[in-house]
Amino acid sequence: MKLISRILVYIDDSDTAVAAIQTAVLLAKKFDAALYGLYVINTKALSDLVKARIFVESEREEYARELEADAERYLRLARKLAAAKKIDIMAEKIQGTPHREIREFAETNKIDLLVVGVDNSRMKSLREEAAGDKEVAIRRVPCDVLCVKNEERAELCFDTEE
Amino acid sequence: MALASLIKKEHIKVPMSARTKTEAVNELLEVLKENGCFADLQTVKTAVFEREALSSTGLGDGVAVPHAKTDAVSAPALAIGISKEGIDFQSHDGEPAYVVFLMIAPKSQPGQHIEALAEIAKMMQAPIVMKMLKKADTAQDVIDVLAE
Repeated sequence: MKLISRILVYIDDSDTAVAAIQTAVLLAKKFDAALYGLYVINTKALSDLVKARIFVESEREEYARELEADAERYLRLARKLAAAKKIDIMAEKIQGTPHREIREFAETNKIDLLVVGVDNSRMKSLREEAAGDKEVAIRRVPCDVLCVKNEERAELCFDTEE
Repeated sequence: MALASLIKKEHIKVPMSARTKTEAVNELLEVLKENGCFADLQTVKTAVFEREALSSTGLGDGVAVPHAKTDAVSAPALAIGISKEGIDFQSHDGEPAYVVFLMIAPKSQPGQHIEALAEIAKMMQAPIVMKMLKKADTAQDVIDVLAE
């Protein structure tokens, strides 16, 4: 049995997302694993913000358009980074609640390693009420998780890998 | 970069001196400006009040979440203010705001902005958290309430 045969990298617009993609690409190459990329357009958050009266309807629509464009931009970047290392990536965007979609995708596709970029400061202990979707996903996915924190190291490894 | 990474002690004002929505926004924007979050105060102020003109961000239950996106900031910034007297934020329930979250974000990274606001919305659903925030006397008290 291979230790890692199917890798999922969670893609968002956080500062560490690129590092996560670079690391996932290198791991896919190293382990000859299938690589999946997933961007979740957080429609649940948009609805919650309207419900909480923080957003008005026009803001929801505006942000939904921006998130769609953002998803396309990051998926293009993921494909480009994978192509640079001659790796195929099945990258897609879906709508929903990120932690639920990540978990469902991981289960459906029998993912054995989830790679996410995390900001060090986000891992500090905060109330459960303030936990973000990535933190919830990290806790709930059935597979192993690699948290990529060091952007400089990821970039250096990616750039120098033969 | 969502809520947890945006909460900074130096961005917390307790107690606020503002009594009106305009004063409250200005007071918290000053806090962010003093801490180097942006240089162009007027542009940020305009963005916040343009958003307020659409609908008040006084959400009721003593909470207000004024926010805006503008390229006058290069990274999301959050200020938190606690008012002891209450601020007329034109909330739908007519109640004054005691806890104010002011969120400014760049036009890029919409996902991070939404996630941070959604986390604030989620926190608001925990009455004990909001009750404890209202009782906070210092910035450290606010941090302590938000941290486990």
